[in-house]
Amino acid sequence: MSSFSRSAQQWATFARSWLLIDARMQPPGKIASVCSVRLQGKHKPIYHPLSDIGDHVVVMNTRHIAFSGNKWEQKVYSSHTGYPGSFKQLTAAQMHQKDPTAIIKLAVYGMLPKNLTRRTMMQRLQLFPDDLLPDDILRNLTEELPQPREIPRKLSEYTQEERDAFPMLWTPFRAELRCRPVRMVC
Amino acid sequence: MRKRERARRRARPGREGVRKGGRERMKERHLLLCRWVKFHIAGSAIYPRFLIGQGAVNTHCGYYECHHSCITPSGFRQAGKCLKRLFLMNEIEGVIEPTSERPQPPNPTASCPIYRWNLQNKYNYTDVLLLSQFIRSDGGMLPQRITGLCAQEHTKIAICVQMAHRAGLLPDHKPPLPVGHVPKPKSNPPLNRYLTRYSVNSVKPIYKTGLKWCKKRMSVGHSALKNNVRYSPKPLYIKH
Repeated sequence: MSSFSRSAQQWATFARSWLLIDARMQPPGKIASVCSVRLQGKHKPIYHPLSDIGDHVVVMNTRHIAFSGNKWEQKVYSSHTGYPGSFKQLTAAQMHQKDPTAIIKLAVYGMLPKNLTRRTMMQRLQLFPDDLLPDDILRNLTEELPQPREIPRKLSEYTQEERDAFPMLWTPFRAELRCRPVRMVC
Repeated sequence: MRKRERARRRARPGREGVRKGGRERMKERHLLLCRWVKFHIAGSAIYPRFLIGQGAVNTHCGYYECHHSCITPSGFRQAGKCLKRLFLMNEIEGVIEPTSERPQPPNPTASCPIYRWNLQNKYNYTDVLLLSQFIRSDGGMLPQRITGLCAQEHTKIAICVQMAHRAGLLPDHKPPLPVGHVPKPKSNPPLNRYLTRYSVNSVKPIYKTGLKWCKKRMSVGHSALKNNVRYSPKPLYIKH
């Protein structure tokens, strides 16, 4: 802002802010790409790969992420420690059950640049399985990032007025419809 | 067919047996209807509207109103047969009532309801208000001959309904549990998913994905919906 003094402007430009993102019903890959951009500092016009101007990112509700397709069953995370017989392959569902933050952590790790700054950026990423955040982090948070995926509404979340306003496409044979009584002549 | 014939023969008393009078038969029919059916053929001027109910059995005239405990297909069929018999024996008269004001479809001459409303490539698994019009209360699809959908749209709607069920967007359309059945407490809470093409238990993990030129991809969404209208410049991404 041009109304700031020089020192205040300097501080505002180079400060490391704390950003929050809610991962409920979101695909972990999209969350991870948003996190990686912010951790590297690529959203700032003063970006340089050596200048370490990335922000802190806090991801909450990682337990409630939503994979598209059948990825919970099909996606496999493999690891090998180097010792014989230690090749482990876990599906995304098994991985998530073991550690609810692991999927997003691995996704962000894979999206960051493969150099020595990656580890420091991963230290600046905080993952929490539920929306319970510690006090000191809550006090540091400055901004909440918008969710990448629009969560669709369940049928139970629509009000009766919205349901009535939606036209019937065909004449149904349903007994639940209200009807006016008819005089039966026998 | 044979079972029905046998049941009919058993139900019908033989010539030696006592024949039931008209009122007794009416009572039976009435009980049947009250047990099974809240019956109402709705809607347009084409179908006459009947409303049958718990009135006093002796009075044949007056308003009848039925309450139902469950609607089953066999119940519907039974009620329909009873109504037809009553109608043919001139015990009911159908009065065609004028319907309430409803919005008119922009293309009324088409045979399929989707084409009537010009929604051909415009719906998705998230349009739950549309999909709920073509499903039963336990979540299954209604048959084509009832809804009037054409074959392609019927399959597309069925696919979208399946995807909506798996995404948890239709929580009230679950099949009813057997009476007295207590569901076991699940150790893992259900995982959130969307655009799932295949059934959850049928899919195997991809242990070896393969090289870039022959990678085993994970499919998302369904290719039947590939012609849907897209308002963003990015193409539809089915193979992840």
